[in-house]
Amino acid sequence: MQYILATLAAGFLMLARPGFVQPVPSSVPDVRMTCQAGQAAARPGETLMVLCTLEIPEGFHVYWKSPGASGTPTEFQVEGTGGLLIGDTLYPRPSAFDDPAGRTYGYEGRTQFLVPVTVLEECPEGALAITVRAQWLACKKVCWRGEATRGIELKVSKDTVDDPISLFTQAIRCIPSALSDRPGTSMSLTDSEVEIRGSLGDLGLPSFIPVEVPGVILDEARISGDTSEFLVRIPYRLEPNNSLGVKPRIEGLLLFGDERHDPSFAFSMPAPPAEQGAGREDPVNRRNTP
Amino acid sequence: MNSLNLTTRLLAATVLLALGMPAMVAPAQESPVPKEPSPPAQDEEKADKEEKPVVAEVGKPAPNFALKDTKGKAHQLSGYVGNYVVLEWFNPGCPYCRGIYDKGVVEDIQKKIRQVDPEFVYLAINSTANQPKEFIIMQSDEFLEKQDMSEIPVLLDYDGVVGRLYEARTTPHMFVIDPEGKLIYSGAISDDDRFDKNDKATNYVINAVRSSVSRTDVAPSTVRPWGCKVKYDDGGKGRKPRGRSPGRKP
Repeated sequence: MQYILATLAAGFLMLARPGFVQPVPSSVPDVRMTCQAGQAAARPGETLMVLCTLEIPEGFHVYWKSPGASGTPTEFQVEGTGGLLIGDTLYPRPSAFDDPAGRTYGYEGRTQFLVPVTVLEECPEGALAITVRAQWLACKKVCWRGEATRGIELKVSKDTVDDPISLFTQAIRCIPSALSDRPGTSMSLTDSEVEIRGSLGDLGLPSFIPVEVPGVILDEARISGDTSEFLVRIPYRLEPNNSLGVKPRIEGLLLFGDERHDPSFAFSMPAPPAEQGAGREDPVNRRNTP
Repeated sequence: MNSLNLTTRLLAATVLLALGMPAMVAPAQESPVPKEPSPPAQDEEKADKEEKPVVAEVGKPAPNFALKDTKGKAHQLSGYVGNYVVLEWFNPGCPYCRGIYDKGVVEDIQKKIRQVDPEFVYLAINSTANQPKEFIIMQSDEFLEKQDMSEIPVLLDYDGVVGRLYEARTTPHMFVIDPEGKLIYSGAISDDDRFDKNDKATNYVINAVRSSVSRTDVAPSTVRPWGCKVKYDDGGKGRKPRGRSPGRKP
């Protein structure tokens, strides 16, 4: 017995000895993607949604369109055999992840993305092949780039009367609405600050997630409120030299509640030209912190 | 029975000792030379105040640091004044970091910057701390050997002090320092985070050096870096999920 125990102990010490280098194990995340059209058939001129679902393994996350301190956006490229107009991907409300390297925004678990697709008037009737290619970065202790391509077949017919598939309702609920559509909410822009005021609902004060736009620096939002109204103040400044040719816009999300399907609202407004003094242009190109 | 108890105790002690050993393992590289600068507190009252630590800022002198590379050689940033210095936050475990080597982006930087400064210095800094230090050293050296770029020194920043000094967020996160020691660029290596633009990609690091050489404004001087997050040592706390409402006030 003593010999067995001594051998076990010696083996254990061998594993722990200096120079015995063993990496922390990590496995390739099995992110699964499925895609489907919102309806089996569409008329020329009609807009439908393509729904792509990512099943992200436990512990991993992929990134929102504006990933924050690190990461790269999850992206969908949709192509058709002809006669399609592809809209911008509709990203669901993201979650935030804090880490020593900074805060990032993204998704865990089952996540659904929508891509609007319009069948052009001149699109010939018959079967239309749609291809969706997605790329993502899935991170846990280690990050893995992933991609998948899926094909969808859509029938184009002038005579079709096809209702959207009901499961899309759930996906649409998680997509942020336009802030301008929220009753009792107003937004104003000063030379250095965005101010959003609105009525307070049952879910309490909102939180804010910035959308990163090159050359526009959004500082930490100040959020306050009383029993009936909230006030969000977001200081900003412009760095025209770092705009990469993109027109400066101030963009972000206001989130109410904690759940994925709780209300969230997106806003985007053009920043006034820096020459007019708006946004406190920073001449020394200060850091582009998120 | 007594002898079994003694053996069990010995075994338990051995296991406990073994479990504690990884933290005591002496790395191939001894403790780094003291890092600088570390601003001393003027007085207790001042130290009590919440002051933002000194961090690298574009347009200002690059903070000095001293680190040892995987071969044990000491590097001090101030020792490279007079030449352009490119810092790359490096982790061969990150697919984006591997990508910039596989696609020849780093090689291109080396080639093009040498045309304007034959003595320019390229330093890869590894702040990865999610693996044993010995593994980080082995993985870094093996990767660069396979790339036939083992002349690039990999500086070990296992405690993340220099990474935090430069606010390095991703691998790769690039910094360009001019011959006067001023930080002139911070951010992405290029605009090709999908590695599909090939010759049409804009390399921000090369552009920054060229602009500096021609005495024109470096623009852009700051671009959001893409890639994997820097895997800093978090004291074993792991990722801190914030639920679904970042920045929410009570």
